[in-house]
Amino acid sequence: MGYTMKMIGYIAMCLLSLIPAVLLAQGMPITNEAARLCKQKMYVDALAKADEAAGSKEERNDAYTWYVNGFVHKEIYKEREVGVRQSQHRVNAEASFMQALKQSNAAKYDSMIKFALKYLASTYYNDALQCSQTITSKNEKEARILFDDFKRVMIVAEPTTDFKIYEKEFTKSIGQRYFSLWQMDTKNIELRELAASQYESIVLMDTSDSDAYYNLAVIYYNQAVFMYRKLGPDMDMFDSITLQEEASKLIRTKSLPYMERAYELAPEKGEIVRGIMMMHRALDHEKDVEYFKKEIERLINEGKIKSDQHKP
Amino acid sequence: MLKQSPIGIVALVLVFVMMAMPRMVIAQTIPDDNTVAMIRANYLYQFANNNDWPAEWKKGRFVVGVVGNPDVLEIMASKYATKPIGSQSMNVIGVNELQTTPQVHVVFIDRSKKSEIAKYVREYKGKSTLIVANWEGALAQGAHINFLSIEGSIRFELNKTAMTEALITPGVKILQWAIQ
Repeated sequence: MGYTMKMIGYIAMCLLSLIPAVLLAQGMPITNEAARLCKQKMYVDALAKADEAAGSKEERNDAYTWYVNGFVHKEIYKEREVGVRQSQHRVNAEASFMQALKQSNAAKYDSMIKFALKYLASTYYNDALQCSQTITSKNEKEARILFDDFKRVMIVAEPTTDFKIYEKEFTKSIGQRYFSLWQMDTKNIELRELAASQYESIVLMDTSDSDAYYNLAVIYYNQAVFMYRKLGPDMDMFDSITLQEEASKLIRTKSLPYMERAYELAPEKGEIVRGIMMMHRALDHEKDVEYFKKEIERLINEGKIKSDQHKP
Repeated sequence: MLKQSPIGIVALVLVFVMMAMPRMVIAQTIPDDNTVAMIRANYLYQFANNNDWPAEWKKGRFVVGVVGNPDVLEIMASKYATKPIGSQSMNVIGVNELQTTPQVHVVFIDRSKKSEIAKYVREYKGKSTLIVANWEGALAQGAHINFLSIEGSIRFELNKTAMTEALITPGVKILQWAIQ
């Protein structure tokens, strides 16, 4: 999330460097005035001029006019409404940039317009990720709408974008959120299933995503651990045995196969090696436990993982 | 009109695209619980609670000793030691205290210490100490109950004759759940 924020800062800086380009357009007095006012951060006046230009018979059919109009909205959004998911200025900025692309001389400004659109897309993406981390139950809708907004803008800004990697990160973010909610309310089966379904959808998208397999394995393993934690002196022997058999079956038939797949894909990732070792330990597979303990030691000795994070 | 260099814009876009690559982070963490130790501790409690010791062993504290498995020892002490066995309060002890405790009701010897079983069998010969172990062949070496791992589930086998010789009467539930 912090990374995306940094990215937005960087893009904003890049976009500021484009302002001189909008200041010296010829034969566009109203638009030029809007750009000048915008550069001076006189946004109310800049917007009035930009809207005037958009309504002007002489300037409204020029892509540059709509670019400046969008730019002013974007600057206002950036100054006042970053993080406001329903920002109208962001909506208006997008609409103006899209309008700019429809003009007959759009090609002249294509790079600038698309660059600005990429900035807007990145803000939608950032908002989608942030929103996904505030989901409280089944209300994914807002996060998904923001993610759709990102895709809608990004596909125009960069038609060759491969969205799979974004889909995966976004879905993982939702999965992580449901997982966290489930950890706080372990009796809530629905949250666990919602978390699992996110990672299941990721492995459908990408069968080589070791993180998704790992996270699926952890969900089922944790489910088993929460069952084991119920074992206690007040539980009847029959119930104890039934419970531990159900829990071990869960690890054996669901958790371990996912972790084995993760291990196949990333055999030197510390979390995964530790994970598979833990699962074999839970199943009392003594030889496997010893093997993976040695693997962890080897990876530590080779400097591939840190010893403090992955104690065998 | 001043133009941004097209090359410059392309470079910026490339940087943007590279920076915009989503992070791939493993988020979930695995709890450290030693689940097998949890199960074994639970079984030790069930063995204590569901077998019957001679009357003279029902005085004082009910002592459970654990050899070679700190996790089982810790779980027994924290989760089960507050529960009485019949009228006896439970005392869970480690290997150091075992040497100075004359009456031990249950002793669990982990496979990490299996080379020491003969010593414990000698030590507890003629006493009603239930010896529990967790490796193949432990019954033949003198254990009364031995944990087995069956498809990842922990079950147990027992030597009823040896238990009877030690004057420990296996409970119905213990016999019912033992692997024959």
